[in-house]
Amino acid sequence: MSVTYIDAIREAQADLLRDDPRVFLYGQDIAAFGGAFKATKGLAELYPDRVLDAPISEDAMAGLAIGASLQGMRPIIEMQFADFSSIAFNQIVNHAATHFYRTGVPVPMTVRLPSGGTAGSGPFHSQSMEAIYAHYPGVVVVTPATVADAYAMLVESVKLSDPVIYCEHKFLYRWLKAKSFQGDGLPIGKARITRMGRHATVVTYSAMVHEAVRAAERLQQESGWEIEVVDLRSVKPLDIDTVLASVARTGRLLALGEAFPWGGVTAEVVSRVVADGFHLLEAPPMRLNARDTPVPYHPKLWAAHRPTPESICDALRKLLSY
Amino acid sequence: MRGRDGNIHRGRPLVGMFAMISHLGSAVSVVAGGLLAKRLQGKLAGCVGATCVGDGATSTGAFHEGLNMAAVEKLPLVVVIANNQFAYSTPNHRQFACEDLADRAKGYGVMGHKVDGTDFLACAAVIGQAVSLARSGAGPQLVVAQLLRLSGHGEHDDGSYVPDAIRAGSYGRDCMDVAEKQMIEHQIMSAEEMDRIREQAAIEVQAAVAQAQQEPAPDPYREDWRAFGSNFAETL
Repeated sequence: MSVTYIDAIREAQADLLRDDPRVFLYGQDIAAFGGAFKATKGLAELYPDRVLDAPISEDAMAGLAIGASLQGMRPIIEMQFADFSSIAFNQIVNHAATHFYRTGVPVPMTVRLPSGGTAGSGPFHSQSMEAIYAHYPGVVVVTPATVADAYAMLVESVKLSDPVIYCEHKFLYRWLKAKSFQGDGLPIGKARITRMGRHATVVTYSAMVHEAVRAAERLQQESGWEIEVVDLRSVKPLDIDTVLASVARTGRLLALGEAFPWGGVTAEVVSRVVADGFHLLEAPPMRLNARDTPVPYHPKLWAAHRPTPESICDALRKLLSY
Repeated sequence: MRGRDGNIHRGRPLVGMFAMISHLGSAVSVVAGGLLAKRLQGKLAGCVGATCVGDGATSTGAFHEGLNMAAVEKLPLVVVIANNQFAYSTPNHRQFACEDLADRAKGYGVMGHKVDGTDFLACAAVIGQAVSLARSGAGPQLVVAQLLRLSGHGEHDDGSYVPDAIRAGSYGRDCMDVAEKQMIEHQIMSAEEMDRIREQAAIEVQAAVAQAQQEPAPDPYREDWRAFGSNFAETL
């Protein structure tokens, strides 16, 4: 018996609806249809008043969540794809994100962003938006990479008093399995050492954690290199202490992400490590991201657009040979 | 919070007066969200939500999305458009091509109302009717009030782009003068009573200005520079 990453997201929402009458779900096709990815399957039957279909109006969905949370509710809105949340950008970064600082009243809403690429999804169903939202003060941005984190971090997101962008990776939905939803209890804001090592550190998050682990295993088999993999879990807050401690052990850093290369999480990690831990580095830190083009449609182009175990191995070999 | 946002973006979010942002039109869905929350909490009976935007806000996507969504949910929302003929300097004919903004109501499946926005009694009657309809379950109500912004868009703006012909037209009159006359004529309030209220208001405003001027400016060294309500240990 095993559970998947999407099971964890559905189960977290089912448990939240059961345990907290303030929680409601709002999104396109999420009620009777159960959501484009079935993350809300069967929930409308159990809670017909609190699982509601939204019109194709991402701005209004986010606005509704802001108003409802100010009125004492704990809304979870589902953007059908992270890419479509660009329409809700103003409500999220200007309305929800500024609210606590402006008024002293927090906006406890959770925005689920089905994120990242899958083969054949193309430019508008594949994006990774985490860095865009993390740029703004007042928004928590989480990027779970495991089944247990998918469950626990969604539950924790809803309990936080701030707006949370919950980036769930579509590639992991059915591919990633675990024995249960049980996790290690790490809170949002703490990174996890997914794999111990001593020769180099890969700092990453979301689906790239698994690609990094594959690359690390390959390098270990090939040449005995021991690569440490740090899963950030949340990109804001960013647990730079755990990153610096890892770099202090290994002396080498590869910041890895699936998003576009200009700026972003990997740039933030490198700049913080260089600023706060320059003396720890034995080699120039490296970044590996997607290519600087829209995400391509064809599976072969897509596979070469994002980092792969092969390109991660290449980057690590370069980092280790410096 | 002191010094954190300027001028008109004030509110009391905990008692249902939301603090607007500069992106006009975005309030429609936020007020709708407050109403939906009340419905989910079983507290909607007797409630009405309202928001007032200008003619310019009706051109935003947020206005369209918000009103459409509120209509789908049949929420008791009253949206008042104060069509003051100019969005900053842009006149109505560069803002929209429909004959009257109230005609849009049909497209949203909501009820539309027109009123002379300079006519106090007409506004009270029409908006009062819209509120009653919303409260009785008739769904969102769109009220379009015609008026003219007599000053500029801000203190920096003299509004010199407003043609004299419009100023001399029916919307060019000062709605405050009209209201005063109407209230006296209809014996809603006597001139003496009005003078007393005006004097009292002047005293209150003077006192508030004096207090604000005596208070120290916000101190950047004592400012709590946190944008989160949650207590994260990290430096973010």
